[in-house]
Amino acid sequence: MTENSLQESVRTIRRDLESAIAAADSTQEIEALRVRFLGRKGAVSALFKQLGSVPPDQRKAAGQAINDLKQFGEDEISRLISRHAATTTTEAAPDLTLPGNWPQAGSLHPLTLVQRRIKTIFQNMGFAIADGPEIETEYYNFEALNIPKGHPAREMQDTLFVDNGFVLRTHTSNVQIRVMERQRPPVRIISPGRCFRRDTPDATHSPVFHQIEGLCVDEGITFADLRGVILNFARQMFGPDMKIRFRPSYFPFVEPGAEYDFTCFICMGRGCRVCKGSGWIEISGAGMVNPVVFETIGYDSERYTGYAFGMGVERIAMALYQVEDIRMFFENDLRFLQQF
Amino acid sequence: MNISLAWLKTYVDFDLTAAELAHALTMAGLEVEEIGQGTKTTFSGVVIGEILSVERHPNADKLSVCSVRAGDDVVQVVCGAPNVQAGVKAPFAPVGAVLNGNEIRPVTLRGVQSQGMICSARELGLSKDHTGIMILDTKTAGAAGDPFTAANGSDDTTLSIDITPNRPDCLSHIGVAREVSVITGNPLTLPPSGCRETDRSVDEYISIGIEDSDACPRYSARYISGVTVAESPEWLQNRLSSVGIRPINNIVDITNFVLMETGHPLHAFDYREIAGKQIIVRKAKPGEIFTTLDDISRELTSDDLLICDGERPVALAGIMGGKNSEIGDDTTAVLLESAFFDPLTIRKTAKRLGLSTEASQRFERGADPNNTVYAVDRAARLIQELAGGTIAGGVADAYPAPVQPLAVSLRLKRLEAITGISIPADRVRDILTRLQLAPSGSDPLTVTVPTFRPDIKREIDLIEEVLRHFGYNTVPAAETILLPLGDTRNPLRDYTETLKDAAAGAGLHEVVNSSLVPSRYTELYVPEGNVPAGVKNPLNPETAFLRTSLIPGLLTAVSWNINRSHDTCRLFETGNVFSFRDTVSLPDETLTFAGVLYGRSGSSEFWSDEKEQVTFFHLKGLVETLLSRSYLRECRFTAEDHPLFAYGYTITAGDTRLGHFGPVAQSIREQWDIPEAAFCFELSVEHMLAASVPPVSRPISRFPAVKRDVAFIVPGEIPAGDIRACILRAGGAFLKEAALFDQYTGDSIPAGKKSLAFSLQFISPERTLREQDVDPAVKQIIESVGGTFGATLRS
Ligand SMILES: [Zn+2]
Repeated sequence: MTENSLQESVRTIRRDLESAIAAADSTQEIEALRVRFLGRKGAVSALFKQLGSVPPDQRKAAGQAINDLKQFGEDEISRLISRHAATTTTEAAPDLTLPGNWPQAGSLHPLTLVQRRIKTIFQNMGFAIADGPEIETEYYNFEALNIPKGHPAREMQDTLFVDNGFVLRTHTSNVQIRVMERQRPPVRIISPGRCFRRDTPDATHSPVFHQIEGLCVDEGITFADLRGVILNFARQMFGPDMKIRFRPSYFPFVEPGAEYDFTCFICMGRGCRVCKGSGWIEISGAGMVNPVVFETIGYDSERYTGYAFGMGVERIAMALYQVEDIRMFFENDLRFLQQF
Repeated sequence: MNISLAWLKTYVDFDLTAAELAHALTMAGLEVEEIGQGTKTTFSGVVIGEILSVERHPNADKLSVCSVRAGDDVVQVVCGAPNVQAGVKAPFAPVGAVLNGNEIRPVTLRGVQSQGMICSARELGLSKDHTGIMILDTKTAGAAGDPFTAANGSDDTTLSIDITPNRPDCLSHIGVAREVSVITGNPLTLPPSGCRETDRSVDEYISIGIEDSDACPRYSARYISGVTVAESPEWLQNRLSSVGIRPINNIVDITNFVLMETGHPLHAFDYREIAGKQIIVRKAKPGEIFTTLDDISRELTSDDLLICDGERPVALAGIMGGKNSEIGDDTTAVLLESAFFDPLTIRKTAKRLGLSTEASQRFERGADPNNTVYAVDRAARLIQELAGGTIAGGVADAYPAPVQPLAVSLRLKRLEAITGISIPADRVRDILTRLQLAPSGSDPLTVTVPTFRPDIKREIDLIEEVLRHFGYNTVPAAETILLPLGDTRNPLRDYTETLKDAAAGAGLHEVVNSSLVPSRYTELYVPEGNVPAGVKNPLNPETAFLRTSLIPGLLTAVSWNINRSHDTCRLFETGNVFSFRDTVSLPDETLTFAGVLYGRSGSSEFWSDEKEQVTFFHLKGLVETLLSRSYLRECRFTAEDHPLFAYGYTITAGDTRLGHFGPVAQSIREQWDIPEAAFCFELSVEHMLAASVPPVSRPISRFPAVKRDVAFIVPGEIPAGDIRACILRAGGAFLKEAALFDQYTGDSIPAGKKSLAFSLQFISPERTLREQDVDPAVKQIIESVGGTFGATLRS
């Protein structure tokens, strides 16, 4: 066989191929076409087999022609396949407006979410988490905190009394005393937990509520350190633009005592309904640990100084999630819980 | 405490607006809760009017015709006031405004149209002044047309201040003025107290005997005769009204005025009623009855302190005077009491009687024992001025053990150690001096603390005073990096968070219930040998006990949601439950983890699902999932009755009881109006943690498993678990799992029998198993189960 006649065969097959490609319009036809031309027993393979009978000096050019044909066929068929796939759907699409189906997820309570955030921030500042009993002796809830019997401050906190002479703790400060009793300075803890007051429930009061208190005692601790920790907390919790404001106030176990405010995180200080136009949100109390408390514990009040602070979990959650009524947290309405 | 700014200004000058002063006081620790008007307004729609011109009325001598600008409008108004003049601003009631309930309408007065009214203070109900229109300060009044408020016209703005219990001195205008003098740097001026006395000594009229000088360390009194009881002058009535005290008569009003001025409570007796010219201060006899001014007869105890005359009690010390000796219209001689009582004594009595008065509030927090004479002098002077009369010479004063001012030292270094900043010594001295805490020396300063500051006893109290006025917010926020101290791990907390995540991941919603429950909840379940913890002073019976189980709270939450159209509730809670083991120790507080399943299983809302109710096996599966997600893989369930459950199972790990689960008993469900089956579990978190085994990874076989299914027909009463255990025992070393995948009774199974199908899984860590490795094991299983239970292979 001469190169010329082989070249003629190549041209013929190429024409056949082109017309077959133009005619193919189903997946099966494309596959049949591919087998007919490019398959192991297809037309192109047959041409390669004939290559041996071409004189050696013409083989190279003939081989090139067959290779070109093979390349042309592969390109055209793959183009045909993708064109075909794009224009035909093999399966009918479902009605996408029907609801999806997946096992229903549960949820964590907003108070848990807020407590976790607060705890993480303080843990990152080197605070350990300490716990203590919710039913407490009057000593740990009051006396050790410089609130002796008959002290006006006992009336600031309407206490619920329990059988056998105990009280429901009115704050988690009892934990501070218990920790200081068993640990020498330095001490750096937060004590999250449930507290109780004899408050009639309304939009802002609940007889059961949650607090997180912090305590840091060491040599050389100052009011500036307290402000540093509070400011850092505010910024970690609500963003870098937070400012803090301390107002003098009175809590028997701290002195100097303060209440502290954060920039209103709803309006960022411009004034809104949530902050009643003041631009500040009242958080809770703080101050330097009263030396009387150290003396009760048996710490050297000249050598050690410290600060303590508190915060109400519900209050922060109410501001953060714009919950208008504290009772929502305890009603356990799924329509509320599912939002978190 | 209500503070009138006009009144305050008589002791200290300030040119701050009410809002600025309120802010400054708040930032000094006197929290202003509200800025208000001293008197309730009786008008609306009144604006500030500017009088542009005044002309004589053509037909009436005493009337003028004015043009008044209020905003953009200029109207013609007929006015009868003698002091009306062009160029001034005055409150103006345009047509449509309301004064004392009467709407202003256009009128024609003697032939001239009048479109409104220029008001006097009396017409606005602001004072009794009716001499002319109320002329406003043009600078501060605001623009013509602006709304007029009482605060615009009078200086009668009041601040409502929340005084903390450590600051009895601030329960007075002078006390607040002292703070203002530190804030502004302006001097504090005390009102005069000197009075003209007669030659006859007070001792001729009264003698004072204190039987209990602990309860009454000081009793001072003055005698004034020849007074005329009448209505107080308007300024005095206005002062009292502005701070919310109802004027009564000049004598009583003066004692109240001095109380609000100095903070020292006074009491005026009708001297005619004081028998035997003597005052005796003694404790009440148990059961003694005394009728106070409010006409209530009160039964007293030996803790209560009485002021008596020669025959009978005349006042409940420090709290309220007696009906029998009150000032009447015909009183002519007055005995003025100015005493100091022990705070605790007064507190106890006031609390027991539920009787809190202006006087008791101040004595409870601590009045100033060294201020009795100033206060009684000040009142006597005012009585003489306003009610006439003559003041007997001297003060009858029983003060057996005078209270001395404390000397407290303040080290500047200590001030810096607490505050973290260096405050200049001059500033420290200046703050203390203006607070009348006389400092002397340089470092340490020796500070003489007057007795009106009972809260200042130690150096730290002085440090607070200095920082309070230097400014809490001048202290920078320290930027210190804190490293954790020692072992900061808290495994119980961490484990609890793991449980919460596992429960939420398993599709449960976390709830938070109150710890306070009614007795009907605690009656359902108490740990054996324990008793529930009761609240001694509950708000109501619904909150009279501490919860002994979380399940009642969960059922309450289910019930709440059923009533709000939810047909499915899957809830969990973690929290403490309480009960007393004995009467001397703190109660057991058990951190507990509990959950409830109610309603549908699966995706309850899905449109193509069969709607299937949850069953006991959903609960069991949930419990198994939660246990395994919290590192408890080897737990046993044992049937054991439980008062909350129709049938209950106890969960144990090793020897530790972890908790229990089961379907809630129908009788209990009915108490909560829960119509369908509800399933609960309740576990002790501490016990779970103790039994848990943190995960340690084990190698996984690289070789494929061989699976075989076998189905046995067994007697119906044999538990599937027993068959499975038998399979696992007989299956040899390669058998890894025998999972039940079908239980069947019916047509092809003989009566009284059931078919149990298990999927067996064989695996080797070392090689790929062949048929001949597995066949003997399966044969062994079939024989063993057949032999033990009489089971046959189902073909
Ligand atoms: Zn805001």
